[in-house]
Amino acid sequence: MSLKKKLIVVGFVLALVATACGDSTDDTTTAAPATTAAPTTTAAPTTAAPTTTVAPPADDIMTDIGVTDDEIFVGLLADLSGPFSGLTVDIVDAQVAYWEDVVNAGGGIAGRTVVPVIEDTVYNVATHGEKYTKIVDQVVAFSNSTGSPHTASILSQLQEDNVLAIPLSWYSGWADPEFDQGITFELGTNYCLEGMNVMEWLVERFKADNDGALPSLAIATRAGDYGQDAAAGVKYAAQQLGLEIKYDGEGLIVRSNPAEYTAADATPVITGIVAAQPDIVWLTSAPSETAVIMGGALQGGLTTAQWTGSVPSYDFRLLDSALAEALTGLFWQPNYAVSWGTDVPGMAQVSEVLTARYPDRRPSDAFILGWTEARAMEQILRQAAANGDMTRQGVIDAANTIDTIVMDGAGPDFNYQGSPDDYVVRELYMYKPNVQAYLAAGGMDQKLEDGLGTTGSELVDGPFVMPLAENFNFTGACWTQEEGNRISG
Amino acid sequence: MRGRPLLHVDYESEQSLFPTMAQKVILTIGALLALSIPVGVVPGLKFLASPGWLQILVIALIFMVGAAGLNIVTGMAGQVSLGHAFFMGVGAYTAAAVSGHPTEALWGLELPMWLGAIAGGLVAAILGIVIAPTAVRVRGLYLAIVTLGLVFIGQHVFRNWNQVSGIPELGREWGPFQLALWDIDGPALDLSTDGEWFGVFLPHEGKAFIFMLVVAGLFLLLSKNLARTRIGRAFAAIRDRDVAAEIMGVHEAKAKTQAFAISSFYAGVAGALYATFLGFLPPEQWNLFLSVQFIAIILIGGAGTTIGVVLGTLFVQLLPRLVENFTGFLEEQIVGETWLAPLADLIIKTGEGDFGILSLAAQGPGLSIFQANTILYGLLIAAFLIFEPLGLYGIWLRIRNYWKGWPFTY
Repeated sequence: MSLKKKLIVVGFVLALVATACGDSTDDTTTAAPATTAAPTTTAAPTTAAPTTTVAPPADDIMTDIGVTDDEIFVGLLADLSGPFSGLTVDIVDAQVAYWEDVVNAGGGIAGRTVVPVIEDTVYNVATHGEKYTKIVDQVVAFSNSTGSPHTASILSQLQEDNVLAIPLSWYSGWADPEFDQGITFELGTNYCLEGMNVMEWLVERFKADNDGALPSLAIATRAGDYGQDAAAGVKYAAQQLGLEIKYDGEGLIVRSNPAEYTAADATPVITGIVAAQPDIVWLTSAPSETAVIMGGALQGGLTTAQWTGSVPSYDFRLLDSALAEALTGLFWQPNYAVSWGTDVPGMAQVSEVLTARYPDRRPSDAFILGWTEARAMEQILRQAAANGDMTRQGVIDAANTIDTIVMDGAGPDFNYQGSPDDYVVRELYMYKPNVQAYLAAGGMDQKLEDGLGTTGSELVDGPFVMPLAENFNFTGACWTQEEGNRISG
Repeated sequence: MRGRPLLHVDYESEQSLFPTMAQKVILTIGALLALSIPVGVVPGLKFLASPGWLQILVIALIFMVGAAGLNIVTGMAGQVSLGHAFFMGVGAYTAAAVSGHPTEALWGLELPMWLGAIAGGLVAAILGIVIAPTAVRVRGLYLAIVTLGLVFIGQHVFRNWNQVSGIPELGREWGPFQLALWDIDGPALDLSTDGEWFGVFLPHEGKAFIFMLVVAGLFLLLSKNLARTRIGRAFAAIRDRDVAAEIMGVHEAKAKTQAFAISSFYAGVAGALYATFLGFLPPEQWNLFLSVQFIAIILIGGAGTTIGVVLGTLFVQLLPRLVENFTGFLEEQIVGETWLAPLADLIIKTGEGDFGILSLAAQGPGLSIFQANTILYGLLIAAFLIFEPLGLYGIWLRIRNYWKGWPFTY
């Protein structure tokens, strides 16, 4: 080959690689703030075979893997550079701040320092499994496992290794012993109960404003255990409340190219919603998909409908986009935990610790999620220490028997005692985006060191549980891949 | 003929797979060393005995089978194919349908893994035969574009054929990674639980490693053998100049079809083993990046050579972990403020406003480790194409020739 030909080939290959790289571009609307060096991966304590016996520590606490005489290793399998890294980096950084500046600074747990062992999973199932195997022999439990399919893919290994994991996912199956064999411990309510709760809450409000008239409904969701689990809950509520579903787009938010949700992908959904002219639209989507669908429907002439959706459908960074005004007027934003800046007892500490550690970062709702994950794991570990058993089985037992996991108002208090129907979390918060308040506080230029700040979400109600969700007998996952919708038609 | 490996006095010695004693000895030692890895007895290789490393090595061995396949069509027969990820996907989903667990929404026959892998290879080979005629019509970059199209067609089919591939972005589960003759509940060779083999305790990744070592060795040997058969020589003739090959009596269409069929069979088997080993994959897995990885393996290792496949796969598969460990090392230097700290600080980005090429998360101007790896593949492919078309194998050849002629340069 002549040099010229070679260069053509090289250019071609580089172009291909560039195309391939495109898959990893960020899904959210704007770039997240740059992170500081927080995700410090620590050196392994030991990679010896799991059967190695540890010498009994002086304080009579039983240990096996991941707990030494002076350290406790907690794993995080987090998406630090994939499509959800905008959120997950904040979640991980909040956890690191919590472990180091709150727990360890306060003397640790049972005299031991907690060491977070962090691995980047790139939101890829294969990498998730690879990183799991890499660190599982070092840690006593996982305080974060990002993603539903990713966590599902390591489920059998988690069971085999008998190690507790907190999934960063709100699928109703995590509370279903048949699905997770009691090895995952979810935080907050799930997509299914959320769907019921939000629908009933909105319908009550709609009836009050419209002389008791019932609203009509349009639903559009992603496929799988995120979208269809939520759809099962929404449909259950519609059935019970007698709502007409004018457009059913369950599982129809589909991307033809994983890297981008295009207008062409959205057209069937948008035309369906606009043609139905519903009073309320429910979305279970990614924030970028919410923007495309809501923007399209508004342009198509659906200007009066109220919008809402599953918690992950909304991201406060949408307030940096052209859709901010419409979201302020029309969107109801539920939340599993509180948003940044909400006036609750725990917020002062969250803000103080994170400001001291990351003064030049912007406020983020994801900080709260990470904080609550670490807080739940801390209380489980403390219970295990109090029981005198910090083995992996001891940690699982502690999680199952602890009386209350306290969140100081950052989220609902809860426990994992009894049957799923006893312990599944049903409380929810309802927020409303407010772009004026957001911009007045400095918008995307806010920094933690400048004061508490806001992500533009204003608390309307919560924590609340509506009667439907309250009385729902939760026996297992609302939707499964095998059986589909298990609770409504 | 000791010391004169290029001097052949009979046809048999020229045609033998490993002509010199040195090659046989090196191969035996290499195989023994590889076998010892999961036990962790050889100094220097002990760190590889951890489950984390073994898992990477098992995946590398599976990729070796796939790369050997691409090497047949691209390296030996000269037909550039970017469709390798598609054929792997076909193999993987055939295996899922054959050996997966059936549910109301998913197909699965619950047959043993070996049947799934062979079926995966065969279905992929049939599709390879269907694709092959395009290779007779177009060549070079145009063929690359055609095969590139396969990846996108595959992505669409895999994402929408839910009975086979599960749900988009979620995926499905494959059957167990077990060697059972017929009954998957009573495996002949238990590969999925930790336990003792011949009195040696092995984690299940270690068992899988030994199993894959045998399988990959077999496939590599077969592909090396192929090169010296009538078919292999036809491939080489087609690669070097297809018109001339036809004039010599090589049936171009037939040879290209054979190349695609055999290569796709390898890809199908590799895809089936890969998915079964990982156990759970979303349909987006079989994308262009996977194809590019295989192209990188072939070009970095050295196109057309079996040793190139081995070196290239190890290089490409271990690179991400090495970059990661290197970044971790640099970070320790900064934290520990050693004499390397200023240099390390130049390379990694430790915070907002800090200069650095590698950052520890995706945001901001720094590159994440994942992005750095992707770009490294691209740069390495480009660099090898320009400066060392024979790849790592070529570098080895030059080193060998230098010492052969030492102290003379020629």
